[in-house]
Amino acid sequence: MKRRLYSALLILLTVALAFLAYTYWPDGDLNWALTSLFLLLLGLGLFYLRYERAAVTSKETAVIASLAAVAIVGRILFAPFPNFKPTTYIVLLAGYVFGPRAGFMVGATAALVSNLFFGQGPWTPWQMLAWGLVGVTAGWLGRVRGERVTAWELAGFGLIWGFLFGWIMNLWTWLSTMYPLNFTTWWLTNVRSLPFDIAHAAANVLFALLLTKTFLPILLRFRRKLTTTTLEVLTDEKR
Amino acid sequence: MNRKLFSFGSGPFFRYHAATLTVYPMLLLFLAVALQHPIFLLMLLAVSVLAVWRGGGLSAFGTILRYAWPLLLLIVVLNVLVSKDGATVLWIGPNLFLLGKIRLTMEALLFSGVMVVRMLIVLAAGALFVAWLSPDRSLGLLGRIARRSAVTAMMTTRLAPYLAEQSEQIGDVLRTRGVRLDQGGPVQRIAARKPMVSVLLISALEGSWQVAEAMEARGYGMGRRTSYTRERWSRRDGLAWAAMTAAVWLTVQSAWSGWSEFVFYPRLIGWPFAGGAWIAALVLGTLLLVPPLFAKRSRR
Repeated sequence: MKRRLYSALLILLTVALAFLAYTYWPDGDLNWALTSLFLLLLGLGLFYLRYERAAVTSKETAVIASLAAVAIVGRILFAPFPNFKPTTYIVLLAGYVFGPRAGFMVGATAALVSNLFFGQGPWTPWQMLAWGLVGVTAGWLGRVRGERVTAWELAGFGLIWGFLFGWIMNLWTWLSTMYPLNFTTWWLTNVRSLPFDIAHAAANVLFALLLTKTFLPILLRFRRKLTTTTLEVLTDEKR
Repeated sequence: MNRKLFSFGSGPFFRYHAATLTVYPMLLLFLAVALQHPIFLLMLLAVSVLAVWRGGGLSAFGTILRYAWPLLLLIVVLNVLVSKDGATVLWIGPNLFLLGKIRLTMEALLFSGVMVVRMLIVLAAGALFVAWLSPDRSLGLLGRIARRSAVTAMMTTRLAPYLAEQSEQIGDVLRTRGVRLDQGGPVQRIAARKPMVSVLLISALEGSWQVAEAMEARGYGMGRRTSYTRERWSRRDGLAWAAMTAAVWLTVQSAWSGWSEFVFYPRLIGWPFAGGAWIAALVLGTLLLVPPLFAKRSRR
């Protein structure tokens, strides 16, 4: 109940601030760079609030941290191949198997921590959001498809996210450095990143086809271990 | 390579509270995004570069610039090619597919330049944050507001170097078995790395069970959490926070009184000596210089 109240309050605050912003800048002179950054941080805050308030066990925390670390090391292992990394695929699979909450945390943590090593910048919160959303949506897909999913389905999902990820990442550049903010400047910004997006999407497809058969059973087995509860046998004295 | 990458915490230790070291780069970022007057932004850029130098992050900033220059170039090219709202035409170019007639205007040129300056400040703020605050200290600070998320992030920072080292060992083992990781075409090299990722995943997941058991053995999740911090507030912090607060107040005041107002389109308004822009920018720069100038390095 308290959790929902916090979330509702945050959403109400956002709506109120958006209303105030449009009241003060009705002619479109709103500082979109600042507004988008603010809304983004608020959105990330909501996801983190959910994680903070949820009943997360030590095992779940450790699994999330381990998968995020694997995603980071994936960035290093495939360093010779620009934008061709297994990171998105690992986040996707984590979300698919362990659910939206764990998926978001694996993605957001991988972005936050890897940038501690590779360099922080304005791209960090956007990366956190993009990878976090990969995990969340994969979690939703997991609820629908369950264990019946095929490598091709995950490859298709990864293909879509290869491009969506790039478009989310381009949003900040577009909103904070382009004028006018119209469809032409938006698609031109995205055209610029097209080679990188294609490489990203191709990587997701290739890794899904190469690794799903091995990785999915491993992660499903760990999920079963995670949800297994050991019951104590009652002795005569305790009865 | 990995050892160098994960050598965080070996940089200088600054005697500011972690909150001061976190908020200052964020303030630079916020001001860069909030302001668009060229004088203000140029002043901010000068302060940011000086702060990066004081924070020991000049080489990191150089590395970021090496990767970021295509983006900066793109900002200029796209703004100049697409924007047709400027009134001062410098050159009229040919008709281009999808873009129409190219009109190079002074307004678009200046706007793109200012946006590049904005991006440079943001990049400098990022370099400064990484240079003068170790991940341990920044995550420790996060732990005060978001405990569980901070624990997850801290565990990841510990596990990533360990797994990277393991991946090197797995690579060595694979090489001794005749796997050529760095030879052949891209597809062969990617396929050769597949066993590395598989072994890493299993190893990481198995390890996570041990980590969870160790956490529980130390009382994780058993009631109220105890904490210990080595972060101390000093007079130096007080001075830095006073300067930052004054900088925020001055920015709001400048916006209110129109000093920082600058209109690019259709014609430049506010250029170059409008109102108190120069004085306000100078005072803002001086205030923002206080935290890096009073930053003191010390031995751990």
